[in-house]
Amino acid sequence: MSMSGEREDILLQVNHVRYKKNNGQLYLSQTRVGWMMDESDTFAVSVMYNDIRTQKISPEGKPKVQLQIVLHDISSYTFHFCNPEGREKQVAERNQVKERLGQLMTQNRRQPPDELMEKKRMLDESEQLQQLYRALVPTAIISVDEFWKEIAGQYKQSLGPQLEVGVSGAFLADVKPQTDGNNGKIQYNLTPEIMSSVFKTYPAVRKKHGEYVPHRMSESEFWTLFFQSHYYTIHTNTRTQNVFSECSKYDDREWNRDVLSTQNDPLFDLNDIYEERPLTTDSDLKIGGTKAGSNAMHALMIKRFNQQSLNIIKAQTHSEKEKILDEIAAKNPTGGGVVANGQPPTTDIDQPKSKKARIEEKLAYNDLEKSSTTETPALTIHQRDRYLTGPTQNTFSNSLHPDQVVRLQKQLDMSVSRWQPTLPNSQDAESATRALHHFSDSCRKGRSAVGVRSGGQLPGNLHKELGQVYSSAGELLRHFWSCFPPRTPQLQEKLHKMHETLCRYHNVTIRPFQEMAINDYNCNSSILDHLTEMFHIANTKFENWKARNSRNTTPANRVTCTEEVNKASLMFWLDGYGSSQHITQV
Amino acid sequence: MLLDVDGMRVYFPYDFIYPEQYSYMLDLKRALDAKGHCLLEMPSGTGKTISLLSLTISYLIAFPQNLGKLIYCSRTIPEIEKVIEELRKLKSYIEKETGEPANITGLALASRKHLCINPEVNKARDGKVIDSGCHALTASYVRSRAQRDDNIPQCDWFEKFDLHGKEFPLPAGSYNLDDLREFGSKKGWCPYFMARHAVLNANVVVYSYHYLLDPKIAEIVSKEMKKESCVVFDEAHNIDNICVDSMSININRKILDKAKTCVTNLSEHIQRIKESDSNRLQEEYNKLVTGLRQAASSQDVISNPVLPKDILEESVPGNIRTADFFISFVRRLIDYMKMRLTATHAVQESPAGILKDLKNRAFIDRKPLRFCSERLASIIRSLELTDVGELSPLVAVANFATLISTYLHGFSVIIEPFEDKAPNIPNPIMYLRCLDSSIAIKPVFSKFQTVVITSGTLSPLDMYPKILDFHPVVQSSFTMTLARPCILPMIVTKGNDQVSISSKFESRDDPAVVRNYGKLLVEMARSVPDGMVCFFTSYLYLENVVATWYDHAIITDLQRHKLVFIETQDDAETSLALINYMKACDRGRGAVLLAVARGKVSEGVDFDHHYGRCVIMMGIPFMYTQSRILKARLEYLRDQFNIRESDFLTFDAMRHAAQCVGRVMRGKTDYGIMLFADKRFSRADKRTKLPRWIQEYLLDSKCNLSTEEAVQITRPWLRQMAQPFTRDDQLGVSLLTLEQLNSCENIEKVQRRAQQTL
Repeated sequence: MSMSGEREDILLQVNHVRYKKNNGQLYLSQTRVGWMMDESDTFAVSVMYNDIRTQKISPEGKPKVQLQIVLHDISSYTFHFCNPEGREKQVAERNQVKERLGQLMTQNRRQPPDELMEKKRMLDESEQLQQLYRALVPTAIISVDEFWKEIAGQYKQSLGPQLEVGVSGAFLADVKPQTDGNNGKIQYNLTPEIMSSVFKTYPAVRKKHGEYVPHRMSESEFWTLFFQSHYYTIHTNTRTQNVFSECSKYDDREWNRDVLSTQNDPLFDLNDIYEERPLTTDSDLKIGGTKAGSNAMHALMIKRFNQQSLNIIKAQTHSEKEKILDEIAAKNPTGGGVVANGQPPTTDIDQPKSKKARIEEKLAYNDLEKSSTTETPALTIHQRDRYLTGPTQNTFSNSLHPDQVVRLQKQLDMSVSRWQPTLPNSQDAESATRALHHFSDSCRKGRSAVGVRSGGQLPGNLHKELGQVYSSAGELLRHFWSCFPPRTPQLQEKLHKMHETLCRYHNVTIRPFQEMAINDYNCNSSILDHLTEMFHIANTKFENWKARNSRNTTPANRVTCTEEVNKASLMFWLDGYGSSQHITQV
Repeated sequence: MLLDVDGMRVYFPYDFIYPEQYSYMLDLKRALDAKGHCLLEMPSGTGKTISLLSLTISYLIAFPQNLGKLIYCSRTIPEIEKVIEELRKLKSYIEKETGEPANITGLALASRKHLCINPEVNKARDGKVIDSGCHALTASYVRSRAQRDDNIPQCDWFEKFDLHGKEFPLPAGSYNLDDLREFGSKKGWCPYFMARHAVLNANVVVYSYHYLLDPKIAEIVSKEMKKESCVVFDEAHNIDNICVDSMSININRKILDKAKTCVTNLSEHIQRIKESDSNRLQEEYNKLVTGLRQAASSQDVISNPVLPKDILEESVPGNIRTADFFISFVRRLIDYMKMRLTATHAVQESPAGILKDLKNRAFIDRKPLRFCSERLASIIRSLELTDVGELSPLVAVANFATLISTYLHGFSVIIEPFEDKAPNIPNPIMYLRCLDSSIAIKPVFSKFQTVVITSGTLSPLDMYPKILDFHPVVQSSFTMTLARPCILPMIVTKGNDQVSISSKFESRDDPAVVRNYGKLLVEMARSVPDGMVCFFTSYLYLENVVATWYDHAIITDLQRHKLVFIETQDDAETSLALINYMKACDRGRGAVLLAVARGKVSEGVDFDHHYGRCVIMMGIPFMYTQSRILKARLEYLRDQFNIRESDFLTFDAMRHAAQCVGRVMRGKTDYGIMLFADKRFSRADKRTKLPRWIQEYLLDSKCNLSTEEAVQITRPWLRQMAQPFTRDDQLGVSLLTLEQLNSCENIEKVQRRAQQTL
């Protein structure tokens, strides 16, 4: 069955369904719902599940058995089930469709971000990664899974820590409560993002959630209560005992603590920045409670706005602090050790600048000042002791007396000022010419010798391909070497695998490349000397390790199996070298 | 660089200079030469303070016989500290230039709250508690008692200072509050008293307005300053209100009750003293016969409001000379005031009326009333009372009596049974309001040879000489020379639906207006990066608007773009909101701060660079015109100075609006949008009252915009401003080198460009 071109599996088909008074069939596929009129071969209705907002069914008592799907743009389709077998069959069919449709809708909606797309994006972003992929995966040097696990994983790590998404200022606005048509229910649109925002912003709610869900109430009950609380409807002041009244107490405590903390800020404490008139009686003039004329409800609301914004900022601060602490922990895995640079482990992100520095900052007129400060890179010293003591100390200067030094300096000055160059006497003409000849000769030679080797002399395509070969080979070798020392069985296994991979790579890529280079470009094989040398060393290392390993423990069958592979690979390698010198070494 | 200003060598600690700074110095020098007062308006963020310091210090060096001291008054503690830091910079530059240590001493002075280092005393955070705690340890009679009795605690720091510190002048240097504390703890001297002592000999003194304007403190701190001083009032746009406030006293029932308790305590104390040591009271009596001046010792804690000299020489009237008589006199006074507070409707009376009423009902004459505060001070000294903080209600009553009997003009007594905004809560208050701002500042003008009144927003300049009653010799407004239009003032008069927006009383609660204000804010939040500040006309209006916005989901729209912080009536909460607003701006999250014009945020906090890329003034911040206090003042201004009510109201509203929007600018590398959102701003009488440096960039085409149009102007402008801006772009236009200042015609050109003399 084709649905607008592509083939799709039909998951459910129901006959005798009317749409706009026409008979037809209703189909459910993996991604969409469709309806086709009888004696027609095109879909009159075809709706993606993602576009559907909700589905509605006709109430029990109604004569017609109907199902309505409402789309995000408020347009809707109503299907009438009219199986001639009678009402019960109709209802059963309708319910079947309803169930299935519900499942499919959630399936489609809850789909995690497409993994493939994610991978494609990564490849698109990094050219190097893409090259590696091309070099290694289609040629079956390593498997796809392994590529993503090993190489791409490492690549991701090298990008540095992921930036964390902050909390939107209007995270509660996206909830958009909507009444649900006929039965007067209110539907809140709660996404995981909103939930995490709420938890980040109100730690008290997170705590409550941990305490109550799922032991004492269900997830949905909890959130229903949340939306009834002052957190969501900001102007409510219901002090009825519920889950969140305790939270508000906690929040108030936090708030008061923060308010007190402002007193340490010398520049922005409004209580403090104005010099008060001595001996005033102003405080006696105020009357208690809310300020005259001010609406208590409005004041409460304003306080909550401030509190919300403050909490959002705090949430960000917390995560930043954690991250920095994590980074510090990562730098010295021994834990509690000395941090690089000899700094104390605390960071200065929460320490305010000194008052003086802040005042000076306020005073600075950049444009009036002569800008002589050039950007100088900072010197990062990891081990201060080493820097301060220095590598060596010359201590033989004590042999000279200061007077002597002065005298010697004078002598030197004198002789320098009196020195008269006598050029003709320094060298005879003949030897000078010879020396000149000699120099220019070797210069010429040197230049040509360098030129042959340089990449500039290689044809462009070859140069580029060589680079690619080097980069992918380097990547593989890196993985190979990272297995040493192979202490754990996992590492040993990986080592074997990497060795196999290397052999295969050599076989599949390097050898053809070398042949091509020789045949097509007339290059001598020396351009790959270095690379083959690297492979050779890796192989030697592996052989040595294996020899030693088999002596200690002999896991019989595995060794034999890998031995065969190794023999084979060795053969290929020797082919590639074509030089007896290497053979003797092996 | 070394400048030549009108023939005088001026040390300027930067390599470049703004043209307006040079012109500013020229004008200031003229005023100093003429030994007269001056009024200078210079845009905020163009280095006013450093120009001022550079010129006056250079003047001090060049003509020490003409000028001995610079007294710099500022509004907030951070401002005060900034001035000292600038001085430090200048001093080190002078030393570098001359090659010898400069003999310049500058220090900041603040209350004990900021300076006390006695851990026993300063553990209290409340300034009043610290003051009385200090007094309890350092009052002269406490100390003399302590000499007899070892159990009485003393303040070690004060004692050490008294013993050793007084003969050594403070070494030359710049002392911030922190430096003073550090120096004090190193030497073991009390920083507060050290600073107060050093103020007399220092070249530069930086402190708050109150130390000069509030007669009670001025008497203590600034009495001995010489005439050859230059007084600077920085950020002085609000100086008339400070003057008025410093001479006004508000009294409610609670204060009277407390005063009554104080009186009872006093009389008990007197009885005790009578039994134990009756000589002491007799001694005091004898002194009072000879006159107040003799009765006062050198160390006053409570001093009188400005009293005419003759009173001080006179002997105290007989009917309050004995302690018992005085106590019953004060009781009668308090009872009378309590009686007046029972009024059920608002009353406004002149001081003369009150005096007459006092005479009729309480049989109190005017003359003893005048001595009330001095007499109280004397009795506190004689009784050796230590807890001065407790006595402040009684002091307020005594000051009330003295003021009302001394000044028959320029004051008014208003009794209100409840606040206008809360007619249901009975809270009778008796206001003794000073209506004439010139009374408090008059001693300053007459005492010092040069008084400089300066701010970023003083327009219209001719208003200040009128209301402060002085004659400036120089009066200038400087513009901001700019190489690129880094301020963008705009007037938005209507929303996208063409409904005009205005905060005027009739339409402010109209949902269409409130919604349009909200839309404007959301639209701007969408296009402006980093921080945004929005000022409302009053706190109540802010509350109502936020509530309406919440109902219309405008707040959620706003939260999509920026975090929202709102000023509240609680200072600590507002500080927290402010600090987190700054944090959000630092993180690049962007935030919007909703604040109130005339509130503490609008007065004392700068929103420079990314802390404020846009300020929106929602409505015109008029004063609450129904207030009786304001009405009385307007009436007085009309009768005495010929200032029309509407003129003064507009003047006041516009200076606050300008003050609010001026908060975004700090230097020429900064940039910001200044958005006036009210239809009435586009009228000529409002527009022309803006400072010149804002008016210049307020083109006619930007005076009648809708929200959409404003956003359209904003976008390309922001993009343009975000481009790199180098010194070369500025040089010659808004930034000058020494060479560019050397030729005469250049100087003239500079002045023409920077100055507008009225």
